[in-house]
Amino acid sequence: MIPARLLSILTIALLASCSRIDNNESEQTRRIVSLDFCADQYLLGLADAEQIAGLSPDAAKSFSYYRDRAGAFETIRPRAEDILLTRPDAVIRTYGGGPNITRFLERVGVRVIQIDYAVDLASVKANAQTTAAALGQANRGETIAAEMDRRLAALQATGALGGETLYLTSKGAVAGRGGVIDELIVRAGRSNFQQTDGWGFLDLERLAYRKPDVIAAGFFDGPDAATDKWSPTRHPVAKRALENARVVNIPGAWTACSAWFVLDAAEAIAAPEEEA
Amino acid sequence: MTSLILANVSVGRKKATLLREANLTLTAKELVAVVGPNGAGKSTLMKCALGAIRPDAGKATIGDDDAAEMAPVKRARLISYLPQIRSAAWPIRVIDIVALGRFAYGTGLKSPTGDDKQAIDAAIEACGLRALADRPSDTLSGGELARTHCARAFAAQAPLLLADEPTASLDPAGQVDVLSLIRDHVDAGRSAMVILHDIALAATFADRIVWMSGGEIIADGTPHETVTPERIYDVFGVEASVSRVDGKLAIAYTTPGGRRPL
Amino acid sequence: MTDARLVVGLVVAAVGAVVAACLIGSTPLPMGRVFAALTGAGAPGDVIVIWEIRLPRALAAFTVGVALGASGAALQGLLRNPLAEPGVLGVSACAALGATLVLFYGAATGLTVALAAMTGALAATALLAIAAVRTSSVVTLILIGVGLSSFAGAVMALLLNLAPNPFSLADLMNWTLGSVANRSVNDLALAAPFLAGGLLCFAVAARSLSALALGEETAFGLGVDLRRTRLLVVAGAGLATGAAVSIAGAIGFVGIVAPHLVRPFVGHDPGRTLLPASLLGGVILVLGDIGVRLIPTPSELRLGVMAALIGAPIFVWIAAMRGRRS
Repeated sequence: MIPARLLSILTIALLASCSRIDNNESEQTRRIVSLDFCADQYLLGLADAEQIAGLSPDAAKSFSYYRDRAGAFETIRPRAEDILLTRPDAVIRTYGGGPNITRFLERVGVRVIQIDYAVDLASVKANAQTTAAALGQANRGETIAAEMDRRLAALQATGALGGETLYLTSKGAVAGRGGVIDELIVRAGRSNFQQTDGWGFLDLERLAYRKPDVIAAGFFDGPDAATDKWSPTRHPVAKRALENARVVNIPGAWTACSAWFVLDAAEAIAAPEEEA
Repeated sequence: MTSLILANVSVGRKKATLLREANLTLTAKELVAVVGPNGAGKSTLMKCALGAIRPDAGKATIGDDDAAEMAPVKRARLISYLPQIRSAAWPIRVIDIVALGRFAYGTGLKSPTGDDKQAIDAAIEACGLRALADRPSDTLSGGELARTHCARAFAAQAPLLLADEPTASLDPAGQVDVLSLIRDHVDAGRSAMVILHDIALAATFADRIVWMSGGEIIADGTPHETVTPERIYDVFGVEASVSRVDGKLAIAYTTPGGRRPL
Repeated sequence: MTDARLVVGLVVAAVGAVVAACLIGSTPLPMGRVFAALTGAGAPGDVIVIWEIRLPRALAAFTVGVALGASGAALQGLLRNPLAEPGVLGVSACAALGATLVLFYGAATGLTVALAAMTGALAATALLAIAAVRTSSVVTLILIGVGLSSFAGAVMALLLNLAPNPFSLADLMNWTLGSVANRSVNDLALAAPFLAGGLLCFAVAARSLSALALGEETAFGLGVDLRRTRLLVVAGAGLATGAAVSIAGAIGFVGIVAPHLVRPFVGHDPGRTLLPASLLGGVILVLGDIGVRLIPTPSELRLGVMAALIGAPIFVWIAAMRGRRS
């Protein structure tokens, strides 16, 4: 059973590498499979429809930014066998398929486009450019980079708005100093309420003394807000903070994958208050 | 005086008849021994009398009530029950075990007072447990544990006592000890029905012996009337000689070949 | 009377533990400010920290401990075995399964989650009680409990994968390991009536549990209504354990440790074990929750982990000692 299966994988791998040679004349890479929802965004946002051979099973989920575009494509589980069966020329991934998949795929001749983890907006922009180039869509990458610069400049033009802002997810995670969310808050002209470094959990006791002016509420649109019985956001002290602060809803899709559209979140945080 | 009457009581389980048309009356100041081989229906008879088993036919009556229908507490005030003695699940103290005899009177969880305390003290005294009162039950010898359970049964001060093999796994001194306690209890104005395996003990302590075999009561009368070598052979399948010495019965078993007395 | 002294001692310990728990938190508060806040005289922020965050958390730990200590003592009395306990018998796991099922299928409100937890617990205790009538072997019962726990765990893991609502591994961990972090007065208020009902069942059954120490036959003879007693303990353990799980998830071993420690002080009487075992269960979990917060781990340790660290060795020890005695 196992040798037979292995054989079929190898055969497919061989076929895959042959077809790669066939398509090599075209400057764009054909038949690309994405291994996780974050890579899905790059594929959906940067590639032509013909280039997409398959998306991850999460491509149409609520936290996927381009979920509306995902319906037209096949979804493929990020497993070696399933990937090879689609005979891809390349796969694109951030974390999908696990840590050993890259070595395996490259051994059987499938190119792997690895998207690096974005630590700040500069690397978000760089990711867009390098990934676009890898997909044979360098122009689109440049367009997106220029668009990002324009939007950031517009935010800067608005000037400092003030207002301590807490990025809080429905599960109670908060974004501290450093990282993309912190930079988004600062670029929006506000200051980060959270003083600690990196990601942390909501400190209810701190809320008893000091309340944020703005709460950027992440993932409150998702259904896990209802299924999580353990989150500190259910606590009356947190609820009161949510009632008293100006709450900006940040759909999970904007920030779940730190790609160029995270700027949507910065713009929402910077948006002037709409008094009801 | 409360009496216990079993009238035409029959019990069957899965086609087998455990008890067939048993008739038995237990009245004042009587110690009745029930004897018979294993599987003769002695325990079934006792459970019917206690109301723990509802007979398929016939009826067991305690005082004026159907035993199987009685409220547990009301029944427990009329009958105290001494099942085969097993060690308690927890090492509870002797005094606490005896105090449980007053369960039907609402005691427990707190120190007993008034009538309860008197009844418990009397039972402790009667069974000679004063010195052992604070001992955990797991440190008692078999005989001491048996006395503790007797005291527990006596503390209820119920007019009727049913005991299922109270002498099982006791040494001869312990057996005599327990039956003497029950005899004294009966002589104080109560009645008891006791399942025994030992005919000699039954003949020594009981006023009446009920002989059971194959789910039926085959004889019911005083030891002098009913203990005969023929009956012992019929009921137990062993040969024995019965003699009267100073008005008391002496029973000796003989092996089938008649080689030597056991 | 020793019982009364024991109970008073445990009440004092419980109050002490709860006050001590109020001294611990992310905001360093000196004792003076804590006591000022406790009397309602402190700064508004201090009062919120104490009355809305620290005290409810400590009381949640206490309440859950009371429920589990009482359930353990009552189940041990009914089954006449010191190893019986909601965690070991799979009652807690089934309660957690009930709660997660409701969370999955979207009908989750505070009340439905609590009700589902209780239904799960009741189903498990009822099954065990039926099995207990058929078998006198407590080993069999504990094996059934192990089976129930594994089954509940497997179904929960299955739900994790099949969920129409996304459900994280962290959620599952909380349900199976238990925690009182972020619990509020609301959570307590929701579970309290059910817990009270459970404790009432135990109180009514207490005397009969004492009598059951002498075996079912003797207890019957003493005038114990066996059916009613079984029903009361099953219902009580279902309500109390369900309420506890709905507050804090499944926390094991408290129900073994607390009764085991108090038993020698009440002459091993199962009925008299109930009240002190409940109080001690509460004290243990309040102290455990203090421990959870004092141990410097990157993310807070779960209370159930603490309970198992202390309780599991004691469970093994009791089991080993029993084996040697019989």
